[in-house]
Amino acid sequence: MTAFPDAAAFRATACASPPDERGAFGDFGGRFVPETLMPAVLELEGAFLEAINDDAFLQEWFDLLRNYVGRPTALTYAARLSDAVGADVWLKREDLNHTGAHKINNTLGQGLLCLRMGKRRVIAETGAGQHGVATATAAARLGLDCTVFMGAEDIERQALNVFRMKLLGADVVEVTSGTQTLKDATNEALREWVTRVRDTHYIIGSAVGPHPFPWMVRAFQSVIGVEARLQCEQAGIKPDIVVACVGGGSNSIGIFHPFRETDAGLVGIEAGGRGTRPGEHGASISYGEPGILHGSRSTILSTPTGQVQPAHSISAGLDYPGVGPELAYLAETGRARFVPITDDEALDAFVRLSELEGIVPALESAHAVAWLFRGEWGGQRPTILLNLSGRGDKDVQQVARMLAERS
Amino acid sequence: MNRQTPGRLEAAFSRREDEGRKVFVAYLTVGDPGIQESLELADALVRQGVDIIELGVPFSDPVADGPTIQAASERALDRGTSLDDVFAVAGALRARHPDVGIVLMGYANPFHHYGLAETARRSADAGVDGWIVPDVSWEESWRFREHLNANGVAWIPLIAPTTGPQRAAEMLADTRPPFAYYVSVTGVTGVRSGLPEGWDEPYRAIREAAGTPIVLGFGIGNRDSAAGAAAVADGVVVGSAIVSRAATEPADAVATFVRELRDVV
Ligand SMILES: Cc1ncc(COP(=O)(O)O)c(C=O)c1O
Repeated sequence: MTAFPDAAAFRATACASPPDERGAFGDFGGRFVPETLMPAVLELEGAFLEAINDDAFLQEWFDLLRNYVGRPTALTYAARLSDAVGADVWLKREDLNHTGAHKINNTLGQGLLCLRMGKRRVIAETGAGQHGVATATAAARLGLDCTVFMGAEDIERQALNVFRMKLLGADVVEVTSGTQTLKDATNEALREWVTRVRDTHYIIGSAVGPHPFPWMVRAFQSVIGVEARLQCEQAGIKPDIVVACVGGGSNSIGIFHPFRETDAGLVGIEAGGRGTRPGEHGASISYGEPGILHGSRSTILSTPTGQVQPAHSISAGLDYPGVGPELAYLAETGRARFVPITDDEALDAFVRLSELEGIVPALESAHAVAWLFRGEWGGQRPTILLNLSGRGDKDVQQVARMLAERS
Repeated sequence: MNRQTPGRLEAAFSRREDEGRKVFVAYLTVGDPGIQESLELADALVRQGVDIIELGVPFSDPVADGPTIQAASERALDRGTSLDDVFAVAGALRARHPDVGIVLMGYANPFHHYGLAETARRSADAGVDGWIVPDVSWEESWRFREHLNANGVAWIPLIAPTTGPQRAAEMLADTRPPFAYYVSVTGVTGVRSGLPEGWDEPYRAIREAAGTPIVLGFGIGNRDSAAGAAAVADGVVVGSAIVSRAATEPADAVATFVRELRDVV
C-alpha cells in the first residue's frame, strides 16, 4: 500500500481554502513589496496556478519526491515515548527526507516552477543553513545557478552547512547588516531579488513573504499532511491532536492544512527561548502583535517604536521575529493554538527522544516533542500526530557543548 | 490642521515649470547624525532652493535601501530616533518654511505600529504633505490612503522599470497623486556612477500617458546624472549622496554640495 497521493487528490487538498484575491487570509497576508517586484510577484502567482493545475508538473515533482527525496516518509508509532508522556504518539518522519528536513519539499517544487518560468537562477535566505542546503541541493539537481544569503553571525555558527552549500555549487553571500542573522539575510535576498528580478527566482524558505509565497509554500508542504492522513487511515487511527513546531510556519501549515476539516486540535509550538521579555524568544504569535515584515501583514515581534524586535531561540530555524500569515489567521480564528516552549525544555526533549526512540530530532522539532512532556491535554490518552520536521545531525555539536555547560 | 497641504506639492511643480526648471527633491535620514542636525540640514537645503524635503523615517529592515541609507538608519535607531522625532522635525521645518514640500519616506511597519489613522493625523498636524512607503504596493495602498485622504495627506506612488505603461497608468488613475516617483534602476537606493543606459525610454512611455509630474530617483549623486535626469524628468531626487555626507559634514557643506546639483536641475 502506498501513502503517496494521486495528483487530483493532492491538488484538491493542497489548494483548498485559498487566500482572497489580495492574497490575504482574513486580515493577514497581502503583498507588501517594492513596486519593482510587483510584476514578478503577479507573474509568479499565475505561473504557480498554472503549474499546480497541470498533472505533468505535479508528476515531475512527485517523481523527485519519491525517487530523489525518498517520500513518502514513514509514520512511526513511538511506543516508548507514548508511555513516557501518556498519549499515543505517531511521528511523521520528515527527518528521513534527503537533506534531513521538510525544506526540500518546497525547494524542489519552487525549483521546478522556476524552470517553468524560464529563469535559470535562484536565490535563498538561510539561518542555520537548512533551507540554504535544501535550495542548493534542488539547484544542483535541476541545473540552476544558486546564491544563498546568510548572516555573518550564522556563517560563523554553522560552518559545516556553509561548506555543504558550497560543495553543492552554491555561492554563499555573507550578510553584515543589522543583526547579521536570518532576518537580515531575508532583507538582503529581497534586495538581490529587486536587483535581479528579471532572471532570478527567490525561493523563500517558509510559508512567509508576499502572496503567493505563503500559499504556494503551504501547497508544496501539504504533501506532509496529505501523506499523513492516508497513513493514519491505513493505520486505523484518528489523531485528536496534530502538533508541529513553528518558525516561519512551513512544516506546521504543511501538516495542519490537510487536517483542518477534521476534528483534530492543531497545536503550533513556538520558540519560548529563555524568557518572555523582548529579545528572549521567537514566539511571534504568543507574544507578538500585528505588523508588516518581509512582504506580508502578519503577527511579528515589534519594539515599542515599531522596529522589528530581533528574536532568540536555541534553534536557528525558529529564531525569526515573524510568522506566516495563514498561521496568524488560524490563531485569530481559534482553529489552531500556539504554545511557547523554552530552550531548556527543547534541549531535554532532544535527549529524551534520542534515548527513547533512537531518533535524534532537529532542535526545532524537539520543541514539538517537548510539548508532549507538558501533558497539557484534559482527559484520556489522546492520539497525537507530531511532525518531526528534521533530524538533529546538524545540532549535535551545539547540543554537546550546551549539555557540557549545563552539568 | 492644514487642509491645503497637498497644494504645496502641486505648487512646487507649477512654480518650477513657470521658471522653465525642474523640481529638486532631497532625502535625508532623520536622526543621523542627530535630530537637531537633521532639522538644521533640512533647513539649509530649503534655503539652497530644494523644493521638496523627504524626511526618511529610520527602520530596522529597509529592504529597498542600499548600504548607505541602511547604515544611516541603523545609526539613527541606535540613537533612539522614532516616529515622534520625525514629526517633531517636520513640524519645526514647517514652522520655518510655510511653502516647502515635506514628504515622509518610511517603511510600513512603524506607521502601522502607531496606527495608520493616528500617524496620518499627526502628519497633517506637523505640516507633512505626503507619504512615500516603498514596501507598500499599489495593491495594498488602500489601507494607507483611506487615512491619508481623510487628513489631506497625499499618497506618492513609486513606479519601477518593471512596471510598464499600462500598470502605471492604472495606478496613477486610481491613486491620483500630486506627483509620482520613478525608480531609475531595478535595484535599491545608492549612488551610482551614472544613470543606467536607456532609462529614459520606459520613463517617457509612462510619462506620456500620465497627467502627473513624475520625478526620477535612485542613484543620482553628481552633476552629470542630475542634469541628465532633469533633461527628461519633471524632477530629480538626491538621497544617498546627501546621506553619506550628512553623517560626517556640517549642514552648510552638505547644502553647498546640493546647491551645485540644484543649479543644473
Ligand atoms: C528541521 C526544521 N524544522 C522547522 C524549521 C522551522 O521552519 P518552518 O516553521 O518553516 O517549518 C526549520 C527551519 O530551518 C527546520 O530546519
